[in-house]
Amino acid sequence: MKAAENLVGLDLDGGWHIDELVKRPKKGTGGYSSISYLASNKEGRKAFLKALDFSAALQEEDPAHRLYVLLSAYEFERNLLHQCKDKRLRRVVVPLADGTAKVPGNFGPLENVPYLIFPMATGDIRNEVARWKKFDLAWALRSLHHSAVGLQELHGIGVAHQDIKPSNVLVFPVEGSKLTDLGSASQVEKPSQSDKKFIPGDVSYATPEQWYGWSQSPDFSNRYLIDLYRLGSLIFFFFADCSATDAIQLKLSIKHGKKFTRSDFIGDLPYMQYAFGEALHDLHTLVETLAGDLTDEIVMIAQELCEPDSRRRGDSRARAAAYRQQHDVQAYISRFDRLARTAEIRMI
Amino acid sequence: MSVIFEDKNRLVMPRCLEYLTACSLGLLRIIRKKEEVPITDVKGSNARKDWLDNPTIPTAVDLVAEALIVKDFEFREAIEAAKYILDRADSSSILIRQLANHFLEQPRPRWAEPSNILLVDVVDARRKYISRLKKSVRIHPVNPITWSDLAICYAALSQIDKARMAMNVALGLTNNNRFILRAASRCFTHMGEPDRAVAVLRRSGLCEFDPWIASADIAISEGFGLKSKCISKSKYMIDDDNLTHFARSELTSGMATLELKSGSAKRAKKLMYKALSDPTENALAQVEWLSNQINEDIPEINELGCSVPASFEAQALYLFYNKRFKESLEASKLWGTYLYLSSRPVIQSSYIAGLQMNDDTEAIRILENCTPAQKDDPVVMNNYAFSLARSGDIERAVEIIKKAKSYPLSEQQKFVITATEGLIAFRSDNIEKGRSLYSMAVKGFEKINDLRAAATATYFWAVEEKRVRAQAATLIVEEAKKRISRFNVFELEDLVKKL
Repeated sequence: MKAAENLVGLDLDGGWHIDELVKRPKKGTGGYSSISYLASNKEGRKAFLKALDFSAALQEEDPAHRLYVLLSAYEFERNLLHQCKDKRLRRVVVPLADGTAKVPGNFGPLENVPYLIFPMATGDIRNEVARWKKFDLAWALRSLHHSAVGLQELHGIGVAHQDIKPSNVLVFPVEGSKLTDLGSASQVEKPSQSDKKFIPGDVSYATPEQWYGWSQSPDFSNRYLIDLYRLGSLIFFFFADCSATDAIQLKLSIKHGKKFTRSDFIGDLPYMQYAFGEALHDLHTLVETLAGDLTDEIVMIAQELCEPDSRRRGDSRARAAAYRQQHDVQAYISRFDRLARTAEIRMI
Repeated sequence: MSVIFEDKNRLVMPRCLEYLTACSLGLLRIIRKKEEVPITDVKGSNARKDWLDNPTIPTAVDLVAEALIVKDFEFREAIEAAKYILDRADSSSILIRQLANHFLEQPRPRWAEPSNILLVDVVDARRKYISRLKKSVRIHPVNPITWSDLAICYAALSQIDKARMAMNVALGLTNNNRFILRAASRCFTHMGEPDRAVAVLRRSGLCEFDPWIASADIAISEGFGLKSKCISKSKYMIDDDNLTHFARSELTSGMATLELKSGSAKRAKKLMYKALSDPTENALAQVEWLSNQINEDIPEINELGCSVPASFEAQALYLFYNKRFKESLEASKLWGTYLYLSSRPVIQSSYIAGLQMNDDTEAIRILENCTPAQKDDPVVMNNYAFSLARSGDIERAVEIIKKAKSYPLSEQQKFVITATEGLIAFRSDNIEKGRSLYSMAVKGFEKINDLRAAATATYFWAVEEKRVRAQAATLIVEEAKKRISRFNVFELEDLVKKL
């Protein structure tokens, strides 16, 4: 038994009590293993506790180095979360508390288990969509709006999330959708483990330029463009049940055969753009049945955000304007908000 | 009437193909044998864990997509997830159902007959395709492939300005993609701008590394008297075993052509066999043509003609040289619909239909149904006028031949048209004028040392003399027989015996 798996019943600082072990220990993309618990405080507020488990590092060939890597990743994420909390980001899940739990028993140096306590979500957007008997257009558009706001908030403090995907958009009963899991994030001028990775975050949601390890410049803003792509990919999730990456890869594989392999990004880009065009066509068909006259606007946003050529990604007016940046999310916040309001009004 | 057999300078010009056709034929495959394939372990991925913990549609999609991305099509759990999607997903979820179906689909054998080759011979179909492409570029204007396809379709309809504009947009969006570069260079060549075609290829900087681009550069340069700058590099490329045989086949057959022209038949022969290791249909057609130039019988050509997809040209030529004219006509028709910018297949098929099959109605049908780009050729017009005159539509034949004469013509083309004018004169009961024109054509061919063409013109003259039961007929028939036998006009050997 690991120390991190032995926290049930412990009382923590701030009046938190660990009630229950959530059975599935999940390997975080940030590099360390975490074990999930349900916790509550004296006011009866339920929360989600993430306990960090570094014990696996001791089994590796170079435990000192591995431990260093894991601790750095954890420390980086915790600092980011603190910054998010300090800056009062509304659309990013920030911890309610954090600290170190001392686990009774003979666990040696691993008896001190770092933890983070987060507010309790009802689930992620995948769970929400799975509950629907009928597609809720207004809810989907509002969730996209919230995600765009969350992204803008992160970009505002110099953080690129890099792992936006349906399972990382949590749903809260009153507040709506929020971005979570900064385990793959990078921050301007603050080196992190994610900076060294070929594809930070989930490979199924990676951008075309990430498949090739291509970048138009070493500039940090390229990471923001990756976020834009992944934000657009959420549109594909809501309306097509898959990511933009899945759709592009599928179309490529159909055209070029299962053995299609990459050569160089710029050379292969036209094929990806063609595949993307086909994916957009299918998306249009799917959105049309659910969103009626809002279809063109929704597909247009998906097209701008998921453009395979990162040099052309994002709002065209932002790219053209000298005073705005290519990765500017504001235009999408406004457009998602307007779309969501239109859908909400129609529900009344 | 002219025939493709007279083609003395075949080159491995890049084919002007639409994207879907190029994909179906595998022309956009990698050129290096050892291409870097990213290795990601699906077994240890979160997608797999998520699927095992909570089998739902989203987790199944994530796992199948991840396995597709890393090309692990044998991964058992991903196969189960794909089947789960097909069982449970809503029928309206087209993308994920397509994903699951494609994942489970067995890869087709490499040379399975591609179903996507656009074998449509109706101009109307092309117009509809243009309409679809225009809609597509409105939605996604930065897609160079759609612009390129649009340019090719416009070129097929002889709307050259629109074709040029669309191809310029495609090149503006990307200038180093093999497919776009080859399509653009072929399109500009078709539009009579070979210098631009070559410049586009050279600007890409790929001539030295990509055998497909080098092959296009050499063929276009050679065809229009320009100096190719990548011949020396190409010599290394055709021997570079890191490149696939398929990728090298067109370049190798092109280099064989250069060797033959420079007088090295031995080296050309060696390269011809090398090009047959895994040829494209274009390389195969080139080897077929080369083998006839040097009288080398290569039995593999026929076998490969049956297995290499879209090898209509190679088949048509092989069957023609082997006097299997009916089959050659069918292959030529397919060749014409496959390469709808090229007039050569139309010349070939109308020649066979009109002459060998004695079916001028079929020849006229072929010539009327071809694309405007194919019609826009004085030799095609000549063949059209020939069949019209033989069918009795003299007025139209005169009109067409007048149009053909308005084109800048080579010496050979001038005499071909003169011969057809002779036919028209005969059919207009202007016998003396007919004789004079045929005589002029025969002498003209002799003057330019095209003795096969002179023999062919003599044959047609003899047919007309015989038809009008002229006294001079016997003399001309004898002359035709003599010439046909002497200059090996094999396709007329049987016909001339019937005179």
